[in-house]
Amino acid sequence: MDFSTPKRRSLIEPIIPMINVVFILLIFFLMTAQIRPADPWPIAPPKTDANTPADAAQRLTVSATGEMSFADQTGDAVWAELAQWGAAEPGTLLVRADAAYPAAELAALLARLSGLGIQSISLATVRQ
Amino acid sequence: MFAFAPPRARRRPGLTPMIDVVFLLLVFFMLGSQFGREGAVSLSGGSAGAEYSGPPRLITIYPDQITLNGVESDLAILPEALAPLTQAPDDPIILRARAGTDLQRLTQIVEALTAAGFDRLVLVE
Repeated sequence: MDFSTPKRRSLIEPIIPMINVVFILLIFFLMTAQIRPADPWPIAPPKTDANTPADAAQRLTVSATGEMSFADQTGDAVWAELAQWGAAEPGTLLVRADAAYPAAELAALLARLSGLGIQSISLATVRQ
Repeated sequence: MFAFAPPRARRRPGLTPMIDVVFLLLVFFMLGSQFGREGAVSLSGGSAGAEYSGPPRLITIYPDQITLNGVESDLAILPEALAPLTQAPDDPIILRARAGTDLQRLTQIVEALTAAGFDRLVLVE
């Protein structure tokens, strides 16, 4: 008979499976994350049912009161920056405007953007 | 003979610092990523430089009603009312927003028209 003291089982749980899971999560978030600067103001884009994914070269952010932000610029510097971008064969401009922004002011804004050579414009929405 | 010390057991590098870093990265990406992916509707401005042909197609949007060429209409019947006025789905349709109309309402109408197949919507002042 064997009366020797039983070998102590190691108390530490195996750590390798946990590291595997954490790495998988990390890779998932790395792949899906979109890193871009936060909005200078809180923006609630209009809600829609359908959702065509936004695919835009640049973003113009417009708050409910009409303040604009484009490429780290705010205020009047936005128009100079937009003119420069519009002159250099631009892609689609995504206008991220607040749902409470007056539609008539958006019409004026779009007309001014067309004048700068920015023809392809889409309006950002979020799914309901 | 030299008496060498017995070979020391090789030390395993500690895993804990690596796990710490990986967890920090994980938390960063979890908090930093955005899940509600943005959508977009296409819209063009008044001077987009496309020629207009055919009968007038002017939709005026008020906060509480919609008119098509001045005749009161409704969002549900708007696509049918527009069908006889267009030859092709890419004929431009003019949208005009009146005071008090916000972007949420405009987007609803743009979405309904886009769903009905009209994809050249022009917003004018």
